[in-house]
Amino acid sequence: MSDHVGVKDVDHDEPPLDRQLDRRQFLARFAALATVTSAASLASPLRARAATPSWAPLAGVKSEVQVPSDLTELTLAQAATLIRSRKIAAIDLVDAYLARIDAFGSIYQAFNTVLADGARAAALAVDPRGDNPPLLGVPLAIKDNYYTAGVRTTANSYVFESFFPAFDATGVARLKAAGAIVLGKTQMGPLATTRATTPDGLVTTVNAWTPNTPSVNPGGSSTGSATAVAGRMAASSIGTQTGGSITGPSTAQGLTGLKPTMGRTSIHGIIPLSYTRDHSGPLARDAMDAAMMTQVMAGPDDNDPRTLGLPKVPNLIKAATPFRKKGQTVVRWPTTIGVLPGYTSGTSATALARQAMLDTFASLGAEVIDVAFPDEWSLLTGGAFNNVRLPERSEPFLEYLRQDVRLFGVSLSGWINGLFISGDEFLKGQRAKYLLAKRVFEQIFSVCDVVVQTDPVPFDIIGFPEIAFPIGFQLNSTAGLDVPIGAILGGMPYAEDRLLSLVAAFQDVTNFHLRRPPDPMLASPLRARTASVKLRLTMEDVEATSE
Amino acid sequence: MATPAPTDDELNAWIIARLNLIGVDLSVLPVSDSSAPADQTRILSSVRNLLRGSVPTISAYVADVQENPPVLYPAELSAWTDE
Repeated sequence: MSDHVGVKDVDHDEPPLDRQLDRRQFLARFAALATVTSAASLASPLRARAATPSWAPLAGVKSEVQVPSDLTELTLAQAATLIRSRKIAAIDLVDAYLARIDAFGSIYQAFNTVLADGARAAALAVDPRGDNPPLLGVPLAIKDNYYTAGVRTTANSYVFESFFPAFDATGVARLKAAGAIVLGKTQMGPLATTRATTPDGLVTTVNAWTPNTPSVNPGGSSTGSATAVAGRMAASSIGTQTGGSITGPSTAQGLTGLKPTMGRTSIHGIIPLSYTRDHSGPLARDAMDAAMMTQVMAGPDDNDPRTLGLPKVPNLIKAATPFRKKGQTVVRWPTTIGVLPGYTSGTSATALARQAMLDTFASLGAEVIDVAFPDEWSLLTGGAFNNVRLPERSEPFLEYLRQDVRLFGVSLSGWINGLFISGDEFLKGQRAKYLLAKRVFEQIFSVCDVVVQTDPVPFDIIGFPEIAFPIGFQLNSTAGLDVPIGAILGGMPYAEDRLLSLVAAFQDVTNFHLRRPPDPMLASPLRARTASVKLRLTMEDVEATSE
Repeated sequence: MATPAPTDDELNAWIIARLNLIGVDLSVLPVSDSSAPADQTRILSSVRNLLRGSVPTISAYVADVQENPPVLYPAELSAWTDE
């Protein structure tokens, strides 16, 4: 249930951005950028534009709550509101998170660098008097493939084990400009491939819901970012997604993760995985927190040509504010949800949770309809055409492959395989991608506004937005603990506002997003057993789960 | 007329030759060591699987070249919009 004070009955305002977009124009523009990107991508970081995009919508965030005894329980919106109103001090919030990291960090292993001194210094410098930026004093966790000026940035790879960037990634720079404090860099799959491991495959980060059972998948590759937020070691976090790396950890750990449309948020200053599929976005506690993070991160950046010339970023805060009519929560905009075949089949806990989620949306006023898979869906989204991304790994890393292939550790095969897809096959893959996007428009979004996702990869291929959110829990028999069940909705390009509005409505009438995992047991028989067994992923494991 | 399917040895030779041409040396890896993060045997096997699976599938696919341009990015071009 939402506690956002901004909730009120309001008239339908501007329509969501997706239905203001002309599909043919989008596809034409999809085509246009191909001719100029390689030159434009060399733009100097010194030309960075819009380093401080408009924060005006964030002024609408007023999430009043009583100050809890444990400050790490606060959402991003609540923490920001309480700091601005001087009801809590930034240093107390930072210290509360550092205390949890100190107590449980060795079990969660969410961070590979904790910037305790820097974070405390930044917090002590916070002065909430006067006009303040919207995220003033709020500590965040940053995936370790985002450049952070002067702070080691490894992507959990031998390739970057001594890399200290000279500048912040655009996403980091914008969050810092908005007042946020970088608490640390988070563990990730090596070079953003799989769940977080050391470069040679030793599992590090655990699922915050089963901290004493490392075999339970925490999702990857933004694993540490998810565990940091779910384990209440940061207010919110950012990750990247090329094949499910924001939505996967979010569903595994009960978070709200938003993968924006390709280009909506900059990927300048992020160690690349697949240039045509890399996205950046938040892993957050709820829809409002995800909206706040995205509102700050989104917008044009001269250093990332994919961000230029796009429709203006709408008011995501308003979109993520629950909408009520006559006191009843309803969907903000009339919305039809498409359900793909098999989505609710069976009697598993996941199937039942999915059906209950759809029933909830129907009760909120959404229309729920069945939609068919577009023509050749399995082929165009399957393993072969998914592998078209591999040359994009190899190309920017060729000098390191020449230097020593062992630098790639357990992830090597993807980078070698990328050298064996020919130029004509790569181009064929791009044609197929265009065709896939066209069919998604024509055969899915002609009859619905959003569509459930059974796999994040199809919308990663075509760059359409997705949002992940918790819809239930089920018992994990190995751990003997409940773990979250998540759902993913996909939208049309620039539908972040609609996606956030739907999840905000859902979270206003459910409480799955409010449940927190129990603290790890520091001395338990299970802990003693699992601590002595180091879990290691093989090269084949990485191939099977790779982004 | 169907072309003959290459053998493992033929593919291995081509893979290594291709890598050598661009300066990538697999010989620094152990030949076969399941405890190592990667070895030559598993890398060659992985590439052979790609060459026999994904590559023919992609190559055989026919898409209308007029209707489906081989584009890279679903985003706009700044020059079009004076941004």
